[in-house]
Amino acid sequence: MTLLEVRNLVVRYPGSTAPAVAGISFQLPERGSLALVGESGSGKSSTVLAMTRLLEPAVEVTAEAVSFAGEDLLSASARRLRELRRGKLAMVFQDPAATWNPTRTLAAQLLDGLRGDERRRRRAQLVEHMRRVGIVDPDHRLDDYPHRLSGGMLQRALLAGGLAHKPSLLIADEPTSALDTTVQAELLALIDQLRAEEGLTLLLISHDLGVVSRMAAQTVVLYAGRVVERGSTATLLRRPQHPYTRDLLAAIPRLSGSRKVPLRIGRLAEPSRFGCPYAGRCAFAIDVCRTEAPALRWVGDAEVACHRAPLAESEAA
Amino acid sequence: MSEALLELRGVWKEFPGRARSIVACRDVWLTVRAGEVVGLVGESGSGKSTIANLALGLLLPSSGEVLFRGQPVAGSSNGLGKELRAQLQAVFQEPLLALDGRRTIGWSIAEPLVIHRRGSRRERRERVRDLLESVGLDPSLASRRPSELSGGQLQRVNIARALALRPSLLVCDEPVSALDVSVQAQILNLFLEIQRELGIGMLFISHDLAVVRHLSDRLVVMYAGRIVEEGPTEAVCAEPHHPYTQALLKACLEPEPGLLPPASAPSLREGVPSRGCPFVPRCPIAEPECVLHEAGPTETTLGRRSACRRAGALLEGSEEIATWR
Repeated sequence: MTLLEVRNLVVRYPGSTAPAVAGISFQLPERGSLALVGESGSGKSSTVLAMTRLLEPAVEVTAEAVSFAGEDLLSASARRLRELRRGKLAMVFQDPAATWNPTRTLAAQLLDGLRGDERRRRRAQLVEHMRRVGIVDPDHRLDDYPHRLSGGMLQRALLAGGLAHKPSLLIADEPTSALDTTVQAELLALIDQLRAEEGLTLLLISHDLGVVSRMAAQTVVLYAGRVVERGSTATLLRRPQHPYTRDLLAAIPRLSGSRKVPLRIGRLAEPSRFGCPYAGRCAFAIDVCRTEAPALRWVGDAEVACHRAPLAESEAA
Repeated sequence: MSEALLELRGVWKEFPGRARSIVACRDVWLTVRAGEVVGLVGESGSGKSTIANLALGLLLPSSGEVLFRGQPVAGSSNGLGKELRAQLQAVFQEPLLALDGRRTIGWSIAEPLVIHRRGSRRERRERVRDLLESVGLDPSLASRRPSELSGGQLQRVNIARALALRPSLLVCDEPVSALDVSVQAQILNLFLEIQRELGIGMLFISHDLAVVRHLSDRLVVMYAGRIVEEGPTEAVCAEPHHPYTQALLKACLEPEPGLLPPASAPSLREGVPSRGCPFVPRCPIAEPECVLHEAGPTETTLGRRSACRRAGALLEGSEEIATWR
């Protein structure tokens, strides 16, 4: 069953000519995992903020549907949204330092608004969840201020806080980008374990295809606010169809393979305003690419928005 | 072997803290030779930026020596002369913060030439043009201000400025960490090109092992202020001689289809013990001796050093590493 569906989402910031998100659609089945991948300006974070209604009211958000467990998020009341964000919808953001208020203890922030017996009961639960996510001595940690904990531990505490509400969807926006490599591995392993144990559905937002390859079954590649490729992560990595996906994969230095050779990357250019947004950078662009925006269509096992797909195997190199 | 440009000899750096002082780097021995790229990798707090600042003379060592072409880098009376100072240049992480927002790009690139009284005004203008072209930018950008340029363009400007005085050593502290993947690839290509054409020595610092591996001839791994492993880049990545390097290689995620989620890394424990080997709390092969005494870096094979007394045991169990490559 579909847990989350986003259909034709458009986000327009006041004063900007081009929309930040120009019609993005995806579906996430219950217990599934999906990654939104892209570089800065791709619209991946705007998508998440628009979906969860965390953008300023001045930002124009429209969509045919943003539904979560059958509920329309765009028309939900502010109160209902708060309830969801503190319940079925758990969120982890990139920068633990920006997520936490430095002047209040962890307990004050995670148990905000609770008093008396309810507070004691929830605190006991929270301690249990903190232990599960690998926080040593959680009862004491709860009374610490954020600066006493490392970035990895703060992200764990945030996860623990989310778990206490028995969420069905975890939205993780670059959850490990601010963390060290080994800490990243620990946190991702933890998210994976929680998914298996709790049946959590995962929406991952990341610029890092390495992280995506290990965490998400489905991947949506975004460029300039549009979906350029969508399909199973394994297929996408094995046979990327869109020139942008190919370029992105070729631009990443690897631990195996040749060193000290130039990485294959074309020239960079601003997204084109007419036709395909990638036309200005694309090595395969032809006339039609500059005039007509390609629609998503099936090519093999993936959906691709490219006039030139499928590209011949020989062109893959 | 080519001439040693930068030498850190038994360098300690302590920062006074409220309760006790923090040792950011402890008995570091490090050499960068002419034309060589030394990659320095480590996690936050490992001391890699302290090394960069010591190498540039922005920090004074608490003890030990930091030498550039045999001369102490920092210190008021006996610091580097202007001539040597010109040969030692830097590129930092945040391209925008490294430039004066009120000045034009051209002014910023020409500034080192002005300070070092190189050339006439006209010659400097020409040099700025050439420099912009050599880093792949349009010379017309010289009249723009930093806020008008993208992150990738700004980092090219910083590189152009670092090259203005024809340095023999570049110290680069996380120069691509703030950039998108595509832009990062372009800047890495630029570093390769510069290195190949100008034969500049580089100390290239990053938290990203794959990035460091791509550029460097020799790899230095830091943990908790110490150098725990050092050797030719390819050899270290293929067969690490320290359990921390091994853990780091394991934790690197590459975009390959069909791989399992990352295995839980050895430990949830944090912190560095006050005695013994700093990696003990996270180490899968620690023995009682490691808790009591820290092993200094010793040569494991020719040209390689490891600060692990169990480096031998690590090699015997190297099948485990093989499954990860």
